[in-house]
Amino acid sequence: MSETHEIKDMQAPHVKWTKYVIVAVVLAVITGLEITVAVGHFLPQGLSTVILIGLTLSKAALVMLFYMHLKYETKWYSLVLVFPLFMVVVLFVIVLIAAANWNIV
Amino acid sequence: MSNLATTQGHAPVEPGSLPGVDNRKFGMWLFIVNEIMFFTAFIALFIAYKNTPGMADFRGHINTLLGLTGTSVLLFSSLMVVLGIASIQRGSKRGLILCLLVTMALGLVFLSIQFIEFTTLHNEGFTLTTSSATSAFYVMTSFHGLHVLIGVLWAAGVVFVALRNWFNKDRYAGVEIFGLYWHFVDIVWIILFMLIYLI
Repeated sequence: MSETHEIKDMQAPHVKWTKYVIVAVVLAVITGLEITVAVGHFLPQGLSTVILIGLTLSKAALVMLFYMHLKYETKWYSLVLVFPLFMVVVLFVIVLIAAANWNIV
Repeated sequence: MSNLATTQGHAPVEPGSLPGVDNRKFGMWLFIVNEIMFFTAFIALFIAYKNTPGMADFRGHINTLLGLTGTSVLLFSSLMVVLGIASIQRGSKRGLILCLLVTMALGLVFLSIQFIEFTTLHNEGFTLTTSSATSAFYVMTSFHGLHVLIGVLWAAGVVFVALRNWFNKDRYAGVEIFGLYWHFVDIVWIILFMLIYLI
């Protein structure tokens, strides 16, 4: 006999809305820091570039962990990202080496 | 009795699925992986032109305030999407629809900002064919803008089905999947903002 029941989705993590707001505030603060570092020009160029990349990656990580729920979901979703992100790093290293050594116009 | 396994006592899980994995969300993550490689190619191209004379000239004319405004708008829109998910998890359809309408409005504001920036740069003589740097800039940001536009249309579709009682506190994967896409588009802009306006 077939069983009829109400359709229910696999339950997504229930995160309190206050946590989402706190993450948004942290993202805003990091963005403020980015602007300060970039516009202030009080750090050497190389150091400010490293800091800006770090701040940007931390913002991306916050969005992925809390807004895209990777912190709360099964690790299978995170595992999907490992190889592509490795390939992204490889590509950027190749591009940076090429840009430094070739005369690109 | 149904021969479908269940996870957490709720959802039917297709045979062969990974434990705890919703295949629709997994599919969205695979699509995002595809999009990562797509945008990586554009970003790599922009980085390659970073130290060219054309880029130095161009960077003197870009408006950091506009970029910051666009970033703030997209970050706020991402907050609206997760608040919408939190609303439907509490069973508030009205909250979901309100949050998604705000998200759509913010997406349109972002596109307007991009239009203003493109128009300003064009009037200052920086067109798609001015230099390799401007070409990389326009192609990269236009494709991102296209993704925002698709996101706005998708949000409209989610609102449309929400109005027809498609979602409730037990059934909202469609909202989550849209959210994954929107947050990814937000992350891409977070990276573009740093590359174009800050470094």
